[in-house]
Amino acid sequence: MSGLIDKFDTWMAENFCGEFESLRGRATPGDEDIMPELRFAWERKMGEAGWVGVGWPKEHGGKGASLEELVAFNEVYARHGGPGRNGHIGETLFAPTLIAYGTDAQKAKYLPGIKNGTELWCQGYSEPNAGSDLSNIKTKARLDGDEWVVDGQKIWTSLAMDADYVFVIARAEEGTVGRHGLVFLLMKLDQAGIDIRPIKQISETAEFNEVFFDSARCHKDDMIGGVGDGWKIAMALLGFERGASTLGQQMTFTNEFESIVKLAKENGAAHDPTIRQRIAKAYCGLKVMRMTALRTLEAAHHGELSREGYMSKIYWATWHRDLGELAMDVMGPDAELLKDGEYGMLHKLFLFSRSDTIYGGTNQIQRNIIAERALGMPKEPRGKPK
Amino acid sequence: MDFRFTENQQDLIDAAKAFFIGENTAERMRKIAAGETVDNLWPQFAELGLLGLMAPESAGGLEQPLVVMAGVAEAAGYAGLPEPCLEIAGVSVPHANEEELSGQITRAMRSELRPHIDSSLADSGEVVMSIDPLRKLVKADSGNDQNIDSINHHGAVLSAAQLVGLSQRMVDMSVEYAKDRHQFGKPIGSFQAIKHHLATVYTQIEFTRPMVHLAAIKGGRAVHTAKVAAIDTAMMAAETAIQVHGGMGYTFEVDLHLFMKRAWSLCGEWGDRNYHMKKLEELVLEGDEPLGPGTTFS
Repeated sequence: MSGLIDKFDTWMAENFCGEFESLRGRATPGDEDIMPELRFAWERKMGEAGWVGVGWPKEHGGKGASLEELVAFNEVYARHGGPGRNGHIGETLFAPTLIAYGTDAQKAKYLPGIKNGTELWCQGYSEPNAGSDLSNIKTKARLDGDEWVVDGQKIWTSLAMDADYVFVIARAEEGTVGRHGLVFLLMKLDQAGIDIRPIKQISETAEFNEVFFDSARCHKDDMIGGVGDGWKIAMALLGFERGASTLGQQMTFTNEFESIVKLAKENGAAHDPTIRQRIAKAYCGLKVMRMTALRTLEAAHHGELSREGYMSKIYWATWHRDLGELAMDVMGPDAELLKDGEYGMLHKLFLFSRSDTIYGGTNQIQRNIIAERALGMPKEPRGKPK
Repeated sequence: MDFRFTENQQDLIDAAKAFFIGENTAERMRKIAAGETVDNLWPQFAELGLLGLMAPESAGGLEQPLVVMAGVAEAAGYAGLPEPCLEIAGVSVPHANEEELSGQITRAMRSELRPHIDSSLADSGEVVMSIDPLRKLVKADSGNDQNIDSINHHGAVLSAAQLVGLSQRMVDMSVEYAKDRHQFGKPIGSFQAIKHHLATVYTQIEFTRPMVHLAAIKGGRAVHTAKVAAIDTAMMAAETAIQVHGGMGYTFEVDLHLFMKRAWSLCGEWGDRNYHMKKLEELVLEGDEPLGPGTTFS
């Protein structure tokens, strides 16, 4: 194993302790609104030690880690029970987009905050009427002197309640429809024109939010690309979403699976033939998924866009939804009882995984995309965009 | 770990695929099914280096790893190749001893034996019929080969790879059909009820392939995972393909059944689903190997 990973292993052992102990294995999806202050502190600690952005190129302050190192890095993090990262949107989605499309001034302004774990980001894409039909963006941006002025509403904005900045797609050209006339803006959340309201979910947690823009402002230099490039940049960012950012998630899945197996052995479910089959099937899916993720990443590393990219979301979402159901069935008659301790997470897994097949593009939208783009099937009849 | 083939390996696989598809047409497959004589492809298998693909260079082979053979097997599955080319080149040859390599197997590699697609490869044995009319099988005693684990590894990987190829073929045939066939004034492929099913199968195929390659490289537990994944994918592909083709998919006239039957046959070969699932159950629930983070490549 490379020196980098050994160092990280040692660092985790020495630093993920003390006050951070209570975060062990926590803050995974469905649990992401817990202990924000402690998690900010953890992000800063990771950042100070140089463990944010290890996969970024060296010239941008990263460590230029190889794919193998990134895999090992995430494995080490999960093995130590490191908590879900509220900096991951900035680190693994926004930063690679900024590095690819931003100006030098923009990189100099925003990369350090992400790298130091001091500035957190969220993603302003979905709107009440632009969900599956994402290009139906209604949020408006107009130029007022040196500033963009934004009015409208975003919804399902993950972790906005903890974030410092949001990247927003908005319609800058009056009268344009669909993918045209959009801008990609970088906006500070702490301002008079922005109101964030958490959405309480069936899990009784609130990691998704509504974000209202009422004459919210950003400098005109805080736009990536030009007017009309918004869609292209937004889609490029989604490409990164299927890349290295999935590694951490995969490790979370592995921990959850391990926990379910452990419980099944303890409570006797491991002797039930149908449960055994389902656990074996879940194991099979987990392995298949990780191999494909690695292959996709490897292709990306060599500058190839692999076809699996289109398919990753629907595969992991479906697998994880089924894992949630398996967790409940392994708990058996106790499934409805809320628990603390080691297996307390399994309810959160079950409840949150009801949303996996919806957010980030429903399974049905994913199938449309796969059928039309990967298989070249005839397009669905569409109405005129308004 | 690098899953990508080298340029030479990819060329070899592409050449094999083009050859299999070009030669093994539906017309040829139908002739074989009807018991008619067809062109003997064995000399060309030898010429392309396929028979000696995994044989040592000292015996005139190309000494390629199993994962390359898996690439060829996927191509053979796609083309519905009936000849047991993979079984010989991918299972028998790599496990042949020196004596066998210098004798019969080398001759097979040079195609001197000119095996036909019937049972002539086996000296004796009772011929049994398969639901796939292109598979001519003989009963044989598997014996107590000391290489049995390795033989099973090769066999399971190559049948899984063929299932991936067959699944892709069934999806491609269904996509073409769904673009052509019109109902309610539109190609049926524009309806979500059709395209979503095909998207689901295609996703399974793309996810199963890297697993099969890992199984080729690593062996062990990955083989069970790969075969289960390949069986589930192929069963889903066949189920979907016949549904997309509607009544036509159930006719002998449409070629789909040639590929469905091969898939259904290979599902039970080299360990059926139940066998591999039980292995996985034992491994996960009774085994003491770690499952958590840190097992990415196992």
